[in-house]
Amino acid sequence: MASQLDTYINKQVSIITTDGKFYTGTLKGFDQATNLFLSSSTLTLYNPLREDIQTDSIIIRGDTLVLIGLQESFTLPDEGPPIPQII
Amino acid sequence: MLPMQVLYGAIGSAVSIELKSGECYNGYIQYADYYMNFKLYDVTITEAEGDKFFHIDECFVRGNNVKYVRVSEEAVTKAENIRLEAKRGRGAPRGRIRGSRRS
Repeated sequence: MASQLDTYINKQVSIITTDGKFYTGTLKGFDQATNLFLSSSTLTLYNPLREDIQTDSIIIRGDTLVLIGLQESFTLPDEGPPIPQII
Repeated sequence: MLPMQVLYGAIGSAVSIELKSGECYNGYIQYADYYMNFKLYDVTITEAEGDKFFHIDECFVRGNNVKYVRVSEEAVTKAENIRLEAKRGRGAPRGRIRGSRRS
C-alpha cells in the first residue's frame, strides 16, 4: 500500500495535512505508517495572499496526512482561499 | 531513508516538534522510539498564536500527539552515516534509541 510512494522518492511532492497546511518538498523517505521525510520543504499559506515559509528537513506524521501529489507541471497561484481543516 | 532513521540522527540535537494541538516544543532529544514518543530536555513550549508558555527541563511527549518534527541538516547527515555504517555490517541499532543528556 505505502509502496505506491516509491515512485515519488526524490521528487517534488505537494502535501496537504489535516490542519489545512500545504507543504511542497522533496520526498526523501516514508514508512508503512506513511510518516514522511521531506527535505527543504516550503509551507505555503494563503491568507489569502500566498506566503511561503521555508523549513529545513521535516518529518510529517502519517496520521496527519490527507493527500500527496507529484508537483511536476503546475505552479502555485499567488492568491487563494485558505485550505480548511480536515478533521 | 526512513523517517525514523532520521530520528536516530536527531538524538542529541535540537528539534522543533509541533503537536496536533498547535503547541510547539523546541528542545533536544534524549530518547525517541518507533511510536514517535519523545523525551526532550531543555524545552521551550510555545503556543500556536506565539505566546511563549514556559521553559521546562525535561518532558515526555506521546507519539500520537505529534504533527511534525523539524530536524536540522546535521541530524540528516548523521542519520545517513548511521545508515551507511549499518549497511557495512556493523549492525543496525537495536531496541530503543537513547542519547546522553546534554549538561
